[in-house]
Amino acid sequence: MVKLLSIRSYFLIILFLGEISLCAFQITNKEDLEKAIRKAIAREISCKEIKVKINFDLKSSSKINSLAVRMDGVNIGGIIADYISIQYNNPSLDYQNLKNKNKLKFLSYSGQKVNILLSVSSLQNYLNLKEKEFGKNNVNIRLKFSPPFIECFYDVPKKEIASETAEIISKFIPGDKLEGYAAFTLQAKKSELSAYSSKVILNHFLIPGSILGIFEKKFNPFEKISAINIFNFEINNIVVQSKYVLLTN
Amino acid sequence: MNLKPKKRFYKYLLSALGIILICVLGYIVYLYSQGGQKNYTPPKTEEKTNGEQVVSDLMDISHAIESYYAINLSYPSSLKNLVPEFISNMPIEPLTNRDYSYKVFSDTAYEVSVQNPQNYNLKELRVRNGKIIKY
Repeated sequence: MVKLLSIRSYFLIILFLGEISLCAFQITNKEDLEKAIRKAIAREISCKEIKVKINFDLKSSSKINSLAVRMDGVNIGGIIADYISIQYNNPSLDYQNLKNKNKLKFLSYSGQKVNILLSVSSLQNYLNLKEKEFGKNNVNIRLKFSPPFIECFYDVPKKEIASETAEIISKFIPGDKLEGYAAFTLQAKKSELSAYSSKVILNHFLIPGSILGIFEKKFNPFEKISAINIFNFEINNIVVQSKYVLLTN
Repeated sequence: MNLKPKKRFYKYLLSALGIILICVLGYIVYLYSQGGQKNYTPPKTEEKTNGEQVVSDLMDISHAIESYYAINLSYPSSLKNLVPEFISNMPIEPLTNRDYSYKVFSDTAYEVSVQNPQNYNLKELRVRNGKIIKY
């Protein structure tokens, strides 16, 4: 009887210690939790670097006040973002899933903020990829951020543009190339990106607004930002800054 | 007698065609004059009133703070830390020439505001976590 009781108490102690260790993983060990989240994200998302920052509630150490994640070099629908940061307020995590399956799952959160930064070079690379995708050669496009505009200096052989497009602007193409300048703004709605030209100069001619309107209707939206696994978001704001284009939800 | 109105009609028609031609040529000359490398500059933005300028400044600073956060996962301790990486020049209040006020409340909340909203005939004029508060 005594032996049976001692075995029972032994199991109870083991269970108790197991519970304590799980709580420790859940609550107090900030570094371990950050590491586990980082590992879970790395499993799902391909990127250069992942940074996780957790802030616990000062009053109650079991409650996460905020969880912030930064991912560098993530593909968001054709564009490689320099940085993506996602901030969650008062998140509740599925610890069992995180520990046993190495999966990050949010049970709830009170607020989510997404910031995506695109540099000139990331947009330039995006254009280069598009040129390759469509088999275009000798296309020379240079971008510059001049808030609130993106400036574009271009030099494109006439043969590289679609005949339908060339027809619309044929009056402005006396030779065999399209050379000039464009200043445009960007807009984001439901993660779809659109570009609106404020000024376009083609082969020394200022292109009238009516023609620009035709192109805007034809090509917009030109790209869709895809949400990343785990993190669900919709981009609805876009701002051009001196060094980055900032996209937010 | 019948030839006179016809002659007058052709005269008007020619004049109208001449005017249209001049307009078209003028428009082409205008489009050409607006081209060329010296015009490779962004369009000029409309001048803003002091109130509009303040709202625009507050939003610009807020966006710069968000970009700073995206890289550092924390808000800057001072607005000076945003220059020049996230904002080329830190704007100042157009009416008073004073710096905008900046406070960080927690790891998820910040606020940028004017020193005195009453200068703009308002009770509140600030941006909190990217949202403008103006009344």
